[in-house]
Amino acid sequence: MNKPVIGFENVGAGFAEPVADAQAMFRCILDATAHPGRTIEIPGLLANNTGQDTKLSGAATAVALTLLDFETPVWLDAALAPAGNFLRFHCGVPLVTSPADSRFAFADDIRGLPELTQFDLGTPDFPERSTTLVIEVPELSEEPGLRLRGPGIQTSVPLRIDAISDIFWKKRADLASLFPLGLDLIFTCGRRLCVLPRTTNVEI
Amino acid sequence: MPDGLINPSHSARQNWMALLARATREELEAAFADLSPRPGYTVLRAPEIGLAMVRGRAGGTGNAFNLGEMTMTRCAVRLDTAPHPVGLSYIVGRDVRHAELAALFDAILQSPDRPESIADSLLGDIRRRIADERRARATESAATRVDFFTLVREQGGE
Repeated sequence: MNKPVIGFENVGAGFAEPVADAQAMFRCILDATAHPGRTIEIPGLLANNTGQDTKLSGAATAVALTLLDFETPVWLDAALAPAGNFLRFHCGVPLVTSPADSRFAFADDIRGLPELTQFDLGTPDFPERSTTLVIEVPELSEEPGLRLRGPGIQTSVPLRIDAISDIFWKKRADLASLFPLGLDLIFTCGRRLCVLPRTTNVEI
Repeated sequence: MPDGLINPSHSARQNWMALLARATREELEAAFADLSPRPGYTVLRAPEIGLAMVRGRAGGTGNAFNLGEMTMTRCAVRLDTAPHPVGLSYIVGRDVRHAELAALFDAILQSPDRPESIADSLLGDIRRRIADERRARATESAATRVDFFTLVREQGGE
């Protein structure tokens, strides 16, 4: 029972209307997951977090407040460590140091990201228990760049994500052979987010 | 149960949080109205109503058992002025305004330039009122007290 005391550095406000806002946000994430490659603007939440810099973008913060609770261990990369107190206070999440123990992982420094196989890919009986990776990117739009195909996309859709190397996409493609195991990715940029489930093919 | 109003083994903050939780909403509203300047604050966690399981031990020593659930409200606020202390409150019942004010005063009491009037008058008033009520209740119940005793029966008289 002796959990470390939560400091309040960087702890700003959560949702103003926790139930309604989380429901609206859940709908956003659901839509984004059903339509891979669609960038979705999160609803107008989280307006008054002045001066409390968790380093998390608005979209990543809203995803965290919506999906995390005490049953979802979270891994943060070094760049997002300042968000630890915020997530523990608002979501009650346990923070873990090993990516393999995490249900959700938040990363800002894509170059310093551990190998994808180090995250929890799920088990054949419970593939949905894999880690969901939330990655902050500097640019995210539905402009030409990558080409996505797969379930939820009629033919193909374009997606532009900056700062992600081709090697990353190759390594992600390598995970496809492990299906139904795999990783689902949520890309966040400011107040926008885009979901790439494990079933989506990314053509560079 | 010990007096509970001032427990020397508790920190000052624990003591004032306990007092603020037992204050009435009117006491806190009045003290809030007297504040000048009125401090700005941000609600970190809007007042939430929930249940807490109260556990007890028979005679204070037996195995713990669940006595029942009680309604609680909790709140967290942060003052807008440096060093931005965070105030917390857990109160009995569902009075969300009471929870918000209790959290606000917890934050104010932590700030280095707190008005001394709060520490003295507000907390003192609450402490006195609780002590008075306790005394009145004790007097009231003392008047109806019945001492049970058993007469020893005479032995052997047939």
